[in-house]
Amino acid sequence: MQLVRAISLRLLYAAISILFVSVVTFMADSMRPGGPEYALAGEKASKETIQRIRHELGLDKPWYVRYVHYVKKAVKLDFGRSYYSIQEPVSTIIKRNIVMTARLAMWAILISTFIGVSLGTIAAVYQQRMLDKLILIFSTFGVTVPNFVLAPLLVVFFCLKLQWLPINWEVYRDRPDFFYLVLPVGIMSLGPAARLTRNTRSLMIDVLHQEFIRFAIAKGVPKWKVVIKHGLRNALMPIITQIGMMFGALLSGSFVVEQFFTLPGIGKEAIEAIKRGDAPVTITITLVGACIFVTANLIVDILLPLLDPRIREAQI
Amino acid sequence: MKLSKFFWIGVVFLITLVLFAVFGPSFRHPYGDILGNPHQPMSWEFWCGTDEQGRDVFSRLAAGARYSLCIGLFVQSIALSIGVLMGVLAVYAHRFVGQVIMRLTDAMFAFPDLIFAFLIIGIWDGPTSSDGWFSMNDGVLPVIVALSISAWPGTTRLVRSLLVSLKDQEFIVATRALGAPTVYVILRHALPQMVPLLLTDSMIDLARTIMAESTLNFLGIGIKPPEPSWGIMINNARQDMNSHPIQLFWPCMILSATIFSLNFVGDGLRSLLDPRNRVTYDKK
Repeated sequence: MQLVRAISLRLLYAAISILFVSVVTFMADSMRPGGPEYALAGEKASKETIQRIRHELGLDKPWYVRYVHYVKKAVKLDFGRSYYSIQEPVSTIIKRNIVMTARLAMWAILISTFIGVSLGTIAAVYQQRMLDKLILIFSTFGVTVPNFVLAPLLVVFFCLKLQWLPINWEVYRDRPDFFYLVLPVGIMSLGPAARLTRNTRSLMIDVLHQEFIRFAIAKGVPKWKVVIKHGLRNALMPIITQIGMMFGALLSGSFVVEQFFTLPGIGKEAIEAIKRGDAPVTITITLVGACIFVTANLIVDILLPLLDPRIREAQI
Repeated sequence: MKLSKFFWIGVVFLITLVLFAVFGPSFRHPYGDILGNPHQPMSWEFWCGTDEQGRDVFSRLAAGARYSLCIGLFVQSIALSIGVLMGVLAVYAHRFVGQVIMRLTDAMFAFPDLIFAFLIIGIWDGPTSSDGWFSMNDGVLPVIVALSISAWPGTTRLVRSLLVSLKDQEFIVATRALGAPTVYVILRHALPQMVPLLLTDSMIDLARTIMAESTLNFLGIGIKPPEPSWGIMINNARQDMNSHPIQLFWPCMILSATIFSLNFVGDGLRSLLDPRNRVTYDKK
């Protein structure tokens, strides 16, 4: 019963977060000087034309009225239409672009989790030795080099000097997708992987110095079995929490990477939408991002007590 | 405890960087003027060569350092003040206020931070930016506001968790038992305990802020182009990377070195305070 209450409280918090994000986005967007009506009407448009366009787009109403209207439709997954070009429905734009971002993000999460957890564990086991120092250099490098610095350097090396990989995503690709995505995914996963390595290392060092580890070794359990079964399992909870938090960073990462490699994802779409002042698209992408982040963390919060009896008992 | 040599390298680099930012822009050439042919290599006349318009890269790097450091320091001091205030309120104010503040930080974490910065900057920078309220020509103020708003929740959480553990320690309880008012206890006993930790923490946050500021400039929505910044320089160099890859070298190098040094100095100071905590934990 307590668990149900804790979970429903979490759900409530998640809903509040998303509500807050949507209200702020709407408010901020309505405060922009100028609006789509000026761009749509052209330079020589009369006041009447501008008024008419404002009315057609529903911009003559105050922002909170528009907000309520938007939410009413958004519940039915209808996010309105873009202001510009052929006035595509926003849901179509999202559907078209989210595939690429999801692909990048899933691979980046998988790779950085794998690299981060394994390197962190290895570094903790070989603490203060050569291997640990090498891994420390890697993780420091990953934390300190921004992805928009790494991207051009790698492109110059692999795409221009060696000519192994293509730079830009094209509609007609003459090579398998792997060649186009390996650099973007690698660049996106480096930062999170490095951060996860650092945290895993320090968590594992804490765990490996505890009594029960020494006991397990003393009773003759093989070393790697001790590290993985007794050590890693006890350090796993903060690691899972951090993986949940990674979703936020990956969305920001996809902005830079998609812009750089001209990949058709929602990060690139968001930048274009914000630059042309396309409120429905901007707001919906912000909401999608926030929803993904909140849902990921919600799943983590629900998973933790199920996986770890210590947390379960603390909550009950 | 012995500090690593990276710590001292970082300290030396940061001091050099500050001197570079203060004196560099007016040291040899003005940073905005077109002085020679585009894409000149390094020479005695132009120490780091010239960029795609023929401006002196050395001065532009220095002016970029000035912008980055100023924005970073401003943002961190604003975030620190708001963060400490909110953190104290979250612990000592009414339970309801504390709940609201903590939910607010939750919600701020859920905001995709780049989009948030975009939105805030957008308020200043619509299609008709010249007559928008409070428009500044170089676009620095919007960046500062946007980054400060997204930086304070981390500090608030840190302050709150520190205060919660301090609150029940004996010296605080004793002071309260003697009848000291809450404000006195906070200002005189609790906050001084946290100052070193908060300062080292904001040093590492400074690295994150400079990174975010350069990202905004790289994507072309931060500082307005005639003014130099590292992000803009990287983005310009990227467009010519086919023919002049060397242009990428300087801004990439200096940006990475700055973030590298800030992280090492912050980590070193932190390990001085708490030997157990030698590796950075992320607040997020």
